[in-house]
Amino acid sequence: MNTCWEDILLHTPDEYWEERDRWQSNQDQLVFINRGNLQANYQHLREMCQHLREQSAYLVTLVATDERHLEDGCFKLYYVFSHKDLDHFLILTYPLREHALPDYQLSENQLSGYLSSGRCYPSIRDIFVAAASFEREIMTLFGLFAVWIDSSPTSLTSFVSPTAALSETSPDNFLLHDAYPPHLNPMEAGKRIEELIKEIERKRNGRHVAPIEHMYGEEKIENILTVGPIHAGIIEAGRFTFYIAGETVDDVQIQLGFKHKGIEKLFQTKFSMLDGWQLAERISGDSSFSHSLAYCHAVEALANIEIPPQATWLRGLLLELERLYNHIGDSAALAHDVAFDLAASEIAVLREYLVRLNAELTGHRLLRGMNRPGGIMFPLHQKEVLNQAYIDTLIEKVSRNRFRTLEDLIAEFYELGELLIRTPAFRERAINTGNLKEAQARILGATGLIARASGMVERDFRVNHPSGIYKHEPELLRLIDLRAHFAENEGLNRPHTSGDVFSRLDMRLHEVTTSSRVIRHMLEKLEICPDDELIEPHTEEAIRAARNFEFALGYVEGWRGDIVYWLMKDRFNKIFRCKVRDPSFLNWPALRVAVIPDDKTQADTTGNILPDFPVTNKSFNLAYSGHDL
Amino acid sequence: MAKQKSIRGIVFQHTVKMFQKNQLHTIIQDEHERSPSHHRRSLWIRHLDCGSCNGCELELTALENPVYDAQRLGIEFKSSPRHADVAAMTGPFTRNLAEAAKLTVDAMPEPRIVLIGDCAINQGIYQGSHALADRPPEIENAIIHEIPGCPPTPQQILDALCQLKLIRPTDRPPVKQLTVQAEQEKKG
Repeated sequence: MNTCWEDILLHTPDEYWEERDRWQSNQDQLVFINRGNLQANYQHLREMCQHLREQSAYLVTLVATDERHLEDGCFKLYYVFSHKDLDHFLILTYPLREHALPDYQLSENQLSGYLSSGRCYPSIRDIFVAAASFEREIMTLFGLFAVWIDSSPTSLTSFVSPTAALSETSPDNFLLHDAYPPHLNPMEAGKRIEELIKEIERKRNGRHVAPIEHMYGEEKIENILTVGPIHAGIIEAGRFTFYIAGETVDDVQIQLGFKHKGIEKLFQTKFSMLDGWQLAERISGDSSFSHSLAYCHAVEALANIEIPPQATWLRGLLLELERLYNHIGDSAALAHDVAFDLAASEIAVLREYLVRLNAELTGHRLLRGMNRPGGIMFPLHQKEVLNQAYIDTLIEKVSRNRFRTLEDLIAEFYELGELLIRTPAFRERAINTGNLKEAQARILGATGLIARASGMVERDFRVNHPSGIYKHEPELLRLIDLRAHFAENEGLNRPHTSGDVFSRLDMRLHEVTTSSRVIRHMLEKLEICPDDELIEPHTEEAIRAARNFEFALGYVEGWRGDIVYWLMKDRFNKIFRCKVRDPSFLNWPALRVAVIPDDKTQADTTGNILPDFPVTNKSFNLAYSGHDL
Repeated sequence: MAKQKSIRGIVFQHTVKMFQKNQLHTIIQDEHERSPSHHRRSLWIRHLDCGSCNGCELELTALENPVYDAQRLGIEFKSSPRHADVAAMTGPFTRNLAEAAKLTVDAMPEPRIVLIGDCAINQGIYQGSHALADRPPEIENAIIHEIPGCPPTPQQILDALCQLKLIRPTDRPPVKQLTVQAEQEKKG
């Protein structure tokens, strides 16, 4: 057990938590031992989470698995926490056991059935707000209920109504909307896809669209404006329900789940460990490379595969290239949203050049088809050597001799970015708009770029949990670590971190600059010849030799935030459970908090107006498909 | 870089600088695009997302940048289905979006649908998932073109859309009439 968790263990009784070491040195596992007493069990899990909260641990992901036909014979929950500063993960394993019907007053009649069949677990959403999204997802997909026991020890409440911090839509509509029959629980192990399809077709409701309330004859001052799921423009699908008073937004309910494609079930049925990366790439199309990289990390951790060092360098290079083209594309889109089309068009041209560089380098504009478990599949011409000069020739080719090196392109982008942030048209719309304060971001468990732009500068998985090239070359961290950057630069050259739209753009400009420096640093040392080994040759045997029903974590800092894959292996190379956690899953509640007024009595001055919402939404640029899977 | 003058000053100088460097040019990809026929007629598109991963949306957004500049060929993306000639569907048809997609296509005066990407054509990588539905006949009968790819490059999309413009709607009867005729013929 790593020493960083020692003080948590001091407070918790040994007979409830069993330590289990994992073969990765930065992970520890505590398995909960059921002692039969419902109230004591719940209390101990919540106490453990309370201690973790006091240590400012970060809830990375919450995985539910159906292990009823495995040796433990129950549903299990895995809570993955990350230490605040160090590269350590703590995984709490909580098996859901049956409990006899207690003398409790139940909020729902069905709860007794769920309790006795082992489908209830204690909710921690008052301790970790981010857990609420996970618990709703688990309820929808598995049919496991998060409950809490009231202070008066005789009542057990099921969380069918979320807390006030989240949107008010019913959790039944979280991922599976009216088109699905209730209590479908598609992720249970016994349900095959053909049976699910038959069940859905048989029990379809007639009504698919939630009716919009009419305001006739009501005395309400507010108006309700529903936008979506189909939006104007080329954008993904989600429904926003605004409660507005005049121009001011009082509240916004965000309903997602429209793009639910049942990806986690597909991982289990249609893909094996070796080719799951194909599905991982298409979870969120603009993060193809980072998703498949996180998947490959998980497989390599599970099977203990060491990839060739050249592959590590190449993975790092392509990860930063993906970050570059996405941040630049985002800046173009944000400029377009404030109607500064000159900057938008010019920046979009730069983004196009970078995407063409991807195509020239790897054969696909969005870097698909590269990652494999065990290395990287890189199509190089027979005589080409990949080094700084090669990249420079490609840049000249794609930009038609406008730029000679990547740095020139980034310098041009930086000029345009400066133009954008100095324009009053942008500043007036962006400064103090869509404020996500640091305290709010911390409570919500926000992550990635959003969190860093709100002041949580330590939340970067490249620095906190280095993997791949960042583990290999620690001096790259010096270029990326925001804490060191802030310590060195007092006032000058520091991106703003006030959590408004302006800060998010500023943070994007900063990250483009640091990424280009990292790429230059890498290219100084990188040289890949055509006959270099880029894939570990015995990957398939290693995967087959791995123990069944073991799980591993694979994580990567994508351009939106940290992507975490929890992968459990089944017999015959199949995937038992692959839980994908895109950073947008944690950040969607943060968007709502950024838009609604901080002080409800002073909504006009502390809140946002309706036209601010597209700008705020664009500055967050969260993945709808990554959330819904 | 321009000094901090008035807004018009900055923009003007930047624009002049770009013209002087001959940078405000669009890159014409193929010879046949220079032919006059490609600059006849317009095609207004309503983008309809039916559950895509966002890859196809990225490439569709790229169509509006100065490099591809679909607007010079009259291809524009409009917000209202009622203004659109075709609906460009991306993504496999998820159950949750089935109703919204149906309403959008119903709102079009002459429904014509182009499928963009492998997912729209045959559910792509998500084939067999329980969360995807079959397209209803109103949408199936309105499909006039398919653009394969995962995602198709903007150049491929542009080529296909240009072909579509030339063999476009006014040359053929609208699809709704066709299906009604076919049904009447079947009955009578």
